[in-house]
Amino acid sequence: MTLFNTSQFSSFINGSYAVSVVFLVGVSILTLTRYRAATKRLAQAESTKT
Amino acid sequence: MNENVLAPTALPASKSSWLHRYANPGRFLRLARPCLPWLTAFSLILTITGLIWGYYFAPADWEQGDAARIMYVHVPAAWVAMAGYAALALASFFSLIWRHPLADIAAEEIGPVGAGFTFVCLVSGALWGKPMWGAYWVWDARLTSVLVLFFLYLGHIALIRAFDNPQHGHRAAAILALVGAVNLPIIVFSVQWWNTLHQGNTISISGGSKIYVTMLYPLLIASLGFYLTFITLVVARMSASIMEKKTRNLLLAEAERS
Repeated sequence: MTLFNTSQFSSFINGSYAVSVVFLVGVSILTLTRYRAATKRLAQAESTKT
Repeated sequence: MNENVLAPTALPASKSSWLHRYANPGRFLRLARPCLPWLTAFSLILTITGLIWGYYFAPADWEQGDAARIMYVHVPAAWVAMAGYAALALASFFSLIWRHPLADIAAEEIGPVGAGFTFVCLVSGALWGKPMWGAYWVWDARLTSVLVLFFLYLGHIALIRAFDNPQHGHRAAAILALVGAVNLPIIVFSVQWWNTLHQGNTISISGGSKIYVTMLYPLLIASLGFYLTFITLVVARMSASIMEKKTRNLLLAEAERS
């Protein structure tokens, strides 16, 4: 195995990985926030009903 | 607009059919809740492993050098973008034919996630194209058909929310999704049908892959990670949507009582 250090293409490689990681982390945080909020609101509504 | 045009009668289905059993949002929620932590864990492990392996440890390509490392994000994103649209078309088919409430929810939640993966595929492809071809973008058959896929996702997201009656939005968006599915074989075979700047298929399910195992393994792990991430995100978003609907119904019932 070789270890990638520097390359004339490093800005393009880093850019590609940055876009992917930002998207994956961003969409995961948004989804987790929405899921937790929905769970909390449903629990509140169900407790109000009972 | 005529109500009957946008809301035709659904085909009858046997109550005992598996389609009806698993189309129940409540049952989906009960099944999804215990699965989500496992899905999240496997998605994280595989995606992080695949990306780190591809970025640091995979060998450089003999022809493209280190720029080929972009493959470990570009190819998985492209595969998920296409698989996501196939899932969207399938959900739309179930929605139109059997009127499954879960199919409408799935279609609504697949759209934004699929569009995100298509965006990653387009941007990483442009960043690969510049050092290899000397241009971020060319109107090549493969690139153009993936751009059309991105617009189809955006159109679906917009159309599903464009009507006052949500059911009309789901019907219209489902028709768009099914018509747009014709773009999938065009994307896959574009590199064979036309003389494209984009390279041909490197990996073949039927064998004869033109990629060495030290590059294939990180690519497959990253792809599996991206697929699982997509599934996890869609299942979590569908669960959240079902819970939001359930909360709204409970609050409405409470308001009507009081």
